[in-house]
Amino acid sequence: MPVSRHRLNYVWRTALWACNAVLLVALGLTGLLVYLEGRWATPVFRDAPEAFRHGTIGTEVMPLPVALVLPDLFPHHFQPGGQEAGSWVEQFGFLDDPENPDGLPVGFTATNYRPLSAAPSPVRFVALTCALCHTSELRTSDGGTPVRVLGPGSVSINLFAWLDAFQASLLERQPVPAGRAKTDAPFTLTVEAITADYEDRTGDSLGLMQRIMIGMWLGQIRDRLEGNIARFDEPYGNGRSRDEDVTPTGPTRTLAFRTLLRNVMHYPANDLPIHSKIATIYNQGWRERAQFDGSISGREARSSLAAVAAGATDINLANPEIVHNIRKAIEYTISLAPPRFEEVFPDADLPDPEAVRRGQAVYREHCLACHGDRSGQGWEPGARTHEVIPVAEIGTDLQRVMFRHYGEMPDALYRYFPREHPFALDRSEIFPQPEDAGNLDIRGYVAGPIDGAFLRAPYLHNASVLTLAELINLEPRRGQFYRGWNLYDTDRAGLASPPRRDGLRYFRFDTSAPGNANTGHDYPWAIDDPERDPAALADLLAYLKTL
Amino acid sequence: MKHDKPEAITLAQFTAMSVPTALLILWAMLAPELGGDLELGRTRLTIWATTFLLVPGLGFWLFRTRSQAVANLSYLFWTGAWVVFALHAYWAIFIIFNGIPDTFVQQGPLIAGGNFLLLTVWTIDVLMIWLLPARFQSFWVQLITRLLAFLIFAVTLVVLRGGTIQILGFVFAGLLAAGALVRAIVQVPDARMEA
Ligand code: HEC
Ligand code: HEC
Repeated sequence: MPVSRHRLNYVWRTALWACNAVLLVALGLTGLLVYLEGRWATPVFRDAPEAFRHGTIGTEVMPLPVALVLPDLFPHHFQPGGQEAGSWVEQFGFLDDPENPDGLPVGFTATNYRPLSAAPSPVRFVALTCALCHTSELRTSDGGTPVRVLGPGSVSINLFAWLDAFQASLLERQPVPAGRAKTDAPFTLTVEAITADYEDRTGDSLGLMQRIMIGMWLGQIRDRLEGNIARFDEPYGNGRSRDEDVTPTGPTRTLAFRTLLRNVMHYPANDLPIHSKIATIYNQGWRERAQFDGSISGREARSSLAAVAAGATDINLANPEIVHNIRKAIEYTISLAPPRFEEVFPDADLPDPEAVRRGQAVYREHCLACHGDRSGQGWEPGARTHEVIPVAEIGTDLQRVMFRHYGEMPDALYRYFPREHPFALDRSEIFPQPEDAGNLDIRGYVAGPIDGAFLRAPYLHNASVLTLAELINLEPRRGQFYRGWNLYDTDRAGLASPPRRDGLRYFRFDTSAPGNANTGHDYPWAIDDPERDPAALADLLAYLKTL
Repeated sequence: MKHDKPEAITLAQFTAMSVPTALLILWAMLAPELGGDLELGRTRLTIWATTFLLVPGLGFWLFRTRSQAVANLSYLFWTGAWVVFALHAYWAIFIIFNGIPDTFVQQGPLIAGGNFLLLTVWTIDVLMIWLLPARFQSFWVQLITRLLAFLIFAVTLVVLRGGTIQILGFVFAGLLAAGALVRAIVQVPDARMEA
């Protein structure tokens, strides 16, 4: 049969029209998406205390619905101590926040920004704020009323253990029949599972766009985590996250440089015992150098890099709201003052004023030169205050400043932000300077003001000394102790530890493990120094409580 | 026939332009959703898309006297490229920068000035070819506008940028230079054509 040219032409034209129509609809829908996107995220410009507490610093972690359902869906990861040992919030040392509208703990905020890019999102994401790490709760007896203080590093938070649990949940797969490869099994966490549990929990439902966004996030983060297995190995999860062999940082500490080594410099940075306690951030206006090693002199540089260490990127750190939050949060720390000892512990014995007076003399003789001293409302620096005291002299643990790539890190950080970026760094504000990159003799820890000394426990940059009494060698330093929800010891000014591991103090801190040394800083006298004067030390302790 | 204006455009010719143009716009708007800086990504990809469309837009123009079909395709792609370039300009000026004065501040008067000049003459050219009858079409206006577009794109991509977009710049400039060379070889005076 002959082919009709006329009909062929008809089909051809119809196909062309259809093609154009489909594309027109696709363009229309894309235009609608772009328009809607513009309304998903409205920037909020907070004042300083609000920015510190509730402002995102570019650390969006996961969609809010995921944050709400994960602990339900994966109790074996999120309640390592078992169901009886409390909620995930308690078990990882976070602080309940009755005011949080989403029921999340202190330091968690919800934004409409996607992780890494701060692109608008139809579903809210959970982001970490400054308050997460820099808020602490102290109590003098289990079950006693805790006092919450803003400013000291959290003594209980076990961030890296929580991250391990989080990653384990995302990578968990359904059980496989014997003999089949583990990677054949589907993942446990799916958008359907999230939606179902979220609807059960909250009674709210998730819209189509929200589910698409959650699916997109899940796919992307999973790809990244799976890609990372070859570099960093698998997360443990399954109740192991808090164990000292899995997460040797334990409560209070982070591996501050690991994220930078990994994300900025692309090294594996595995097994680096560069433990850093979360710092106390009072009166930043009195400090010339930030970080325990004094490696940053600019205030903005310190906080923008802290945000990068906590997961922010050069992209989302250019978002106007995030820039604003970080700048305001810094402002907040400039003159934030510590509470007094008796305000925090009204029931504790007040230091004897005579002892305090004598203690001040001891302090001024042995400590003033390095740390300076309180003077009225201000701080009087000593001859060496703000100096980086070399490790050879101070004698505290050296891992934090002697790890591989330490010398080249400032250059990498300097290059990280483009020149026109709001947080572009000045090379002169990050140390070591290029000419000192290989100079090990100058590496050490900064001798800064120690206002609010009683709130800085556990002491030293690696949190290896529980109390001030031990730090000044009034009492011998413990070689092993247990960390978690430690009680405050008002006599010794610092944290108490039970003799044995218990449910709340689950982490064994062994000062002989790499990065945990409690040596050095033997001022005024080493514990075995024949001149050591315990009475003077008791006076010094009394004075330190008033700083 | 001088082929200085689109005439008797067929559905097939239109679709030959609309499909790549629409797909490139979708790509430029949606691909950045997958990661990186969303709006900056859109701004960048619209430039890639404009460059892709300019290759047939300028290339066919060199050979527009071959037939009305070639001339039509040239004006169609030129117009498609203009639409995407206008999208790019909108994103750059109003989403990345804070309006026109800020664009001059951020980009510097030379680059911003060049871009605004191009946008203006390109817009006038597109309006002229579609709205004015054949006798008002000017070969010189068309030549100068296209030369300006070619030069600004070639210089911006090859000289001012680095990375993959520079490679795109070389491909863009190379293809069109080769096209111009071929055109120079194959062209003959009007009289001989008629003989
Ligand atoms: C993930 C936990 C975390 C978050 C979130 C966090 N910090 Fe910190 N911060 C730390 C740690 C850990 C250190 C100590 C780093 C070091 O020197 O090793 C620190 C140190 C500091 C210091 C330096 C104190 C000193 O004496 O050197 C300041 C100031 C500070 N943080 C302010 C902030 C501000 C402002 C924010 C919010 C923009 C913030 N931090 C968010 C963990 C955190
Ligand atoms: C040679 C200088 C020097 C002298 C003298 C000195 N310190 Fe220190 N101090 C430091 C340095 C450096 C650090 C940080 C060490 C580290 O974290 O590894 C430090 C840390 C501390 C800390 C812990 C701060 C924290 O956040 O953990 C306290 C408290 C302290 N010193 C008190 C004293 C007292 C009390 C004296 C006098 C008896 C004293 N220091 C004498 C240099 C000195």
